[in-house]
Amino acid sequence: MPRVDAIDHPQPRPGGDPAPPSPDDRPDGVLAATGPARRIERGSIWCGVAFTALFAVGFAIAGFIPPPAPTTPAQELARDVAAHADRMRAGVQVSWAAGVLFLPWIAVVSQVLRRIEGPGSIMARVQLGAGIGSTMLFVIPMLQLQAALLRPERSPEVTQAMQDLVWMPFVGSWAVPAAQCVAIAVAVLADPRPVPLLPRWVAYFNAWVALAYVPAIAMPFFHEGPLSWRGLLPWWLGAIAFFAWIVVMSAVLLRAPAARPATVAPAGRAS
Amino acid sequence: MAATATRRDPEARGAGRVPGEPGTWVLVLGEMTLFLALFVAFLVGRADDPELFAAGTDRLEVGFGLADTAILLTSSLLVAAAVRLHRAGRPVPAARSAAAAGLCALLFVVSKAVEWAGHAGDGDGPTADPFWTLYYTVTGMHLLHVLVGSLGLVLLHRRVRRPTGGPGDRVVIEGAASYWHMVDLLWVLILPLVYLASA
Repeated sequence: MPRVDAIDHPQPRPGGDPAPPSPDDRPDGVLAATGPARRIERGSIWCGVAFTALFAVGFAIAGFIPPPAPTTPAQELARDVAAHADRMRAGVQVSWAAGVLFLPWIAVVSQVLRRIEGPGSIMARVQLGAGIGSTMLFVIPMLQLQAALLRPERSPEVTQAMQDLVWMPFVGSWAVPAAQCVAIAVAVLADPRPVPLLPRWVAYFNAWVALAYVPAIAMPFFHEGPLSWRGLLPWWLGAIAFFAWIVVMSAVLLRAPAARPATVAPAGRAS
Repeated sequence: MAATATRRDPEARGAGRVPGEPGTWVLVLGEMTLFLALFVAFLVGRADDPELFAAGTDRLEVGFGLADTAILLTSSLLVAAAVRLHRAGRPVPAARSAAAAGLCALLFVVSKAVEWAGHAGDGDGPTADPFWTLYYTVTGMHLLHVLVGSLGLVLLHRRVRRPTGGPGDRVVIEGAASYWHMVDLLWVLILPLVYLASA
């Protein structure tokens, strides 16, 4: 195994940029060690957990776990809306408004990626942009759902069409949250430190979550079965992957070591 | 990727280490869990309507299933050979072996496309009935993983063909090889589940 030994003691690659030497032997961390910054960061992480909890509670109240099947006849859909309109409205109000709690969580992840990447920090910006996009793709269909629930007495076909306009983007916009996960994975794998700021398995976990969202690509072709919008892959796997992602990422961030005081600059960038 | 290579975690070396890095296995085991759910969905669908699934299986070309299996087993063998040759410090045959594995992956994609086009042309499209929906779902998800694994094979090829080892080689090479073996293993499970079992 001579080759393996050689790899275990890497030498600078000719023409490659060697990683900058660490100014301190202590491993660096990602979160603020003390003060208001620490409280804000930890509070923001808990906001993400609160978001998923309220999202689930609201959907449970509304009876949208899982959402109505694409095969539901218009008459039946309209009858359900008429029978449970207020319960559905209340649940959706809880869920959509909770979506704003996702924003502080995204901001902390972006901050952590910036510390990992240093100046430039492209992936931190991609994560932030995709995160805001995900939030909008959550909030806007939910408000459209309120519009669909507003007039239970209207023609059933109209209610059905409006619900199509809700569930198709809500479950089907897989590429935006996937981009968020890919950005995290790339930043973590590209961490130049000898001991990475976030453990490298976090990158592989994010890659898995991104892949778990991909089957929704087939959703427009199916009214029933495992690829429909309430099917095994787009709905159940997507939901499980999303919730697991929030919980795992939050736990990783809450347990991550604090940054060395010197690096907790106002800009928050590791030098 | 190359510039990122110096930071492998120091625990993952020596006797107790896993192939690639521990994180590789988070991904591999996550993927296998996903397919387990898909296989259960297939079995539930079959329990729901055994006659429909038996009829569907009869319409599948077992030849495609067996050929695909042979292609993927060959590719796995070639990947394992590429890793061994790389460790032995022989970049040229290692790269050749990795390229041949990549050709097998391409062959698999072509074979799947021909098979799908044939069924869809006969009116057995993805929405024809629950059997065909699950057939395209399971084989389509597998095909997606073949494509992801092929990207891994490209990375593996780029690493093994270098005459001198670079930092991070082991993580990339063993990680890509492990993922590819998983793709192969999943197909070996799909073959009896979808193509062979009709009872």
